[in-house]
Amino acid sequence: MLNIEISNVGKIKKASIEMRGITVVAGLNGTGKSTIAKSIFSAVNSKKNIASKIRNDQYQDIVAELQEWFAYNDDDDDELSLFFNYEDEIAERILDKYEKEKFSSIEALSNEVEKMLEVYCSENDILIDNIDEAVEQVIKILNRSFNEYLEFFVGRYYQDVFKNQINRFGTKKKSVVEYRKSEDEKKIVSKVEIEGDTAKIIGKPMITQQENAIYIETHSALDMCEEFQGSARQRIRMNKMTVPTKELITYLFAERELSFAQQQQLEANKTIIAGIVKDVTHGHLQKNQNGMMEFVDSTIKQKVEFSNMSAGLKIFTLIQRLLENYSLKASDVLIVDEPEVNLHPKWQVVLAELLVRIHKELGIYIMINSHSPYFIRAIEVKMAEYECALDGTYYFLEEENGECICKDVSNNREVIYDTLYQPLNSL
Amino acid sequence: MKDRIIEDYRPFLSNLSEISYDSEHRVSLIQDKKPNHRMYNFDGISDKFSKKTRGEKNMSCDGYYEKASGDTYLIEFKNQEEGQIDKRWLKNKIYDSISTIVMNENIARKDVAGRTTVIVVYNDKNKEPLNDQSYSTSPAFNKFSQKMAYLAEKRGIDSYDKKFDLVRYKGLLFKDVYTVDKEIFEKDFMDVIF
Repeated sequence: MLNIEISNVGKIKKASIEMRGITVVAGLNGTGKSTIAKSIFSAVNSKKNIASKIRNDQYQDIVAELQEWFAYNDDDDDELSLFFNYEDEIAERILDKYEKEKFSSIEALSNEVEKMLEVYCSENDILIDNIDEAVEQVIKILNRSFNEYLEFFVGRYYQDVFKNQINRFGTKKKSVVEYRKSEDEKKIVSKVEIEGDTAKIIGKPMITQQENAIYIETHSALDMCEEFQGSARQRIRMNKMTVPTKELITYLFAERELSFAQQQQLEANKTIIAGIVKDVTHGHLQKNQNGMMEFVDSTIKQKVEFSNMSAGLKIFTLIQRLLENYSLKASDVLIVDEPEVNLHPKWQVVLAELLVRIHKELGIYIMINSHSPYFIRAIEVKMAEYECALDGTYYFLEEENGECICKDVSNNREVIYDTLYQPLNSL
Repeated sequence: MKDRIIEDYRPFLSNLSEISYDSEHRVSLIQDKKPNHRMYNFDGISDKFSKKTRGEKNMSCDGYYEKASGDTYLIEFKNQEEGQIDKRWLKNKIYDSISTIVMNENIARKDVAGRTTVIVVYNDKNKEPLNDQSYSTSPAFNKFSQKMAYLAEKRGIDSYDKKFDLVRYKGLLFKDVYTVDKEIFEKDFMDVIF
């Protein structure tokens, strides 16, 4: 079970979301459904790959410092030096040494870095001057605490996802998102306070986590694959995409080297997936020899252009691909914004059944924002049919006195249907 | 029109109160003892006749009724909320009931399917705690369905839902199916049947 506590985020004053299996969030437009989706997405993903992010950041900073230092020392104005990236290689060496050896003190680390710089410069006939200054800068970078980095990257991730608008509109209150894996307070995966550009990690968060969140904001992500696989100019356009969509497209292209156990799990999953989608997609997404993503229709044994695919089919193929390339696996979180978009009610029922089976048979957490009575009812009925109805949690968002409140309506979902019925009744 | 009495079934004629009796809760789902509202206790029929042929009792719906026109009704009374009913169990019960009629009356399945209407009557007022296999009734969702049915020009009993995924057996096991709360059954279906 996953728990997310949100306060003062976007339009949401307070929300407490319990994810037991499938979580449905309903409410009028502008009441904060996507805010909840983004909060869950950020809470699960913000610490992802933190070690490699830190290393990459340290590397870039060391390279920048050394570039400056070399430029200062390069009084010969040797044009050849432009063709050598001395600083890249030294930065790599310093970081490798730093990671492999535990230095007892900053002094020991300084001595080692100084020695490395001297050896490297002598090997490459580089004049050295002011080496103390360079060492000092490198040590400053290496000496930053893990927590400083964690706060920096987690804060930046939230701000990127929320496009720098995470703090509650019209207030100066700190935004807080807490992510727990159970109701046990000790199992806090992360608790983050964000105020402007500053993030603060509260308590001692779990650093290693296996689960991942994938957020399907729009079914047209499939059409955006062309940006990913296209020209440099198209790839630049990709940078303008939202973080969830950019990550989704990366996952669609992912080809992983799996461990033996993961491979076995994937084979088992594929059998289940084939059973679930066999009467729906009649084909699958794949990467062709040129690395381009394409949909192959197994009935006509032919490639079908994304632009010629039924809009409704896209959501099914997206999910199928994520499962088939092991991007989506047990304990992961799949977030889908308005899955009913482009789907006839008959297919909404089919999609609801597919999501219920993915949860039940593959152990994936699912969070859905929906405006469709067909879809929400189908989730309820299918969960009962697949004997996992108690894994369903239901939330209703509404605005009260300018504040959006999230109510747990799992034990009385009537308010969801009543709100969806009223517009029809008024006609 | 005087509706037909099948002689072999005569001992099983009973009123709706008895046929819809829920022995667990000791209550009749339908309180109706009118003499002209009698149908066969199909559970009793199944008990007696299927034991002869199969050696054990088939699952069976509660009520069976044949009109003089030849149209027949199989009725299942379930003193449970809609969302508490197990649809696989329900489908099997209907399947067994149709088989019992085929065997007892020695007629082809397609003939039974061509004349039989199945009605499942449940009780949305009998609230029970939710479990992994149930969901709660939603009056607002039902209103939504009713409104959609009205827009689709469904009128009378045809405006009511056909839940539990039973429609897929229409034409195969039965001619038509209705799944309704007991209040709707009492209000709109009694006059159609009797």
